[in-house]
Amino acid sequence: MPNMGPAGWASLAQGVRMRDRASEEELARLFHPHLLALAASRLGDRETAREIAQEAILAVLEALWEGRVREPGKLPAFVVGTGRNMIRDYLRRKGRRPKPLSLGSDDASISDPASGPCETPPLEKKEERDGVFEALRELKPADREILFLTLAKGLSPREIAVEIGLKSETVRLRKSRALKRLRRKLKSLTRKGLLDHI
Amino acid sequence: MDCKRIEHEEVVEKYLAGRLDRAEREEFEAHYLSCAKCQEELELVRAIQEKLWEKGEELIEETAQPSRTLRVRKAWAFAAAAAGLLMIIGAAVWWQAKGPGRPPAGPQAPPSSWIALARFEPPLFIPPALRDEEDEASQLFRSGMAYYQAGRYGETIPYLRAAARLDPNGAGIRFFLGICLLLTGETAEGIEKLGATISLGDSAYLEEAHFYRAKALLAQMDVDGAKSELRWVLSEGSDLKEEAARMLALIR
Repeated sequence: MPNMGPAGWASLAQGVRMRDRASEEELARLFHPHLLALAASRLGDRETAREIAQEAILAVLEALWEGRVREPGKLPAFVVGTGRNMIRDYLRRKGRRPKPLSLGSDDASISDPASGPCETPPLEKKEERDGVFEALRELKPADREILFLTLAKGLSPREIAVEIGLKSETVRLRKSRALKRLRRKLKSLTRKGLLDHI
Repeated sequence: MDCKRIEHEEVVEKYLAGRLDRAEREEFEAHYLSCAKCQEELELVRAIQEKLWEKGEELIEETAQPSRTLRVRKAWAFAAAAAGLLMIIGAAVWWQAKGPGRPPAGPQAPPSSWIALARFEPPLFIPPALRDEEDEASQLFRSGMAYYQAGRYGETIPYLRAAARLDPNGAGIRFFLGICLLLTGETAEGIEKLGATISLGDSAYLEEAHFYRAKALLAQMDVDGAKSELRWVLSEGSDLKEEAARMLALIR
């Protein structure tokens, strides 16, 4: 996995702009899971989620080919923003609101899109978005770094172990504990309606 | 794929980090798109990933002191271990060369000095005068080398990689890419890139590529390889000749 700081994202964006096939595939590999997860959680309809994720990837590729991405170092924000816009457009066309995020609920299955509009309105405020940031901030610095290397840089526990000088088993354990803490914290935020921010 | 396996094998994180192969990915998607529990877990980790993409570096910069300290300590431990290993291997080589019954060899440099010989200061980069029209590879090279001049070698690498893709015959691009890789600990790939610079033939970077490749090979304890590169530098009679001769004398 390449080092995906702003320079790495800019390099990937540049590769796509140059129609480098490997860069295009890398972009899809990195972002498609994220977009599909985003769409699935908001739409609750697997086929539509697949279509939207696919369309969002294509829209990002087109924007890069045509040089329309102004800050290639912030490629993830552009990709996620594109996905969100497409979901919003879809919901607007269908006259629906997004499916509420239900962390900690006991839902047995994903709701049927035909079952009508969801009740929870979208939450847009900045402080609501910052719930995740604050939860991350409360973690121990080493745990935060492990999560960063895992999720933002895509490193395996073994690679992280080499990077920060811990045993890979310790990395795995700390990551698991950190996620557990975040899960607890974010579930309480969700109950207060602070997480869903489409 | 079931929930238990997903939890046990950390499938959600691997999925979002792009570390599942195609079959695993499809299997997981088929599961989570019909499993509320896994979808919730995925949404949680996705929200964290998004925030880390957006503000992760800021968060790490803020309070990374403890793990940095750990990393520095680890780096020193590694350096000490490497020095120890070099000394042991060097002593073994020396012992074999000297061996019982063999005539006494000439003065030997202590193997620990190889470490010092393998170290190098980043070669100076003087930006070329600006041309009216720069191609894309040159633009990338220039952007990357701005990081190089600021001592940010890791951040230079992606630019030079992208530039190298566009300009396969750019000796300067390959040379500085090799140097940056060496400076960030990617020694094997650094050696390879310097080799690629050499294989491009005569260029402004040819002698330096041989010279720094010798240092990198020495860091990997490939003494014969290092000697061969140093002999090449000597044979060319360049500015680096004296330093190459001194190194050769010490590792003989």
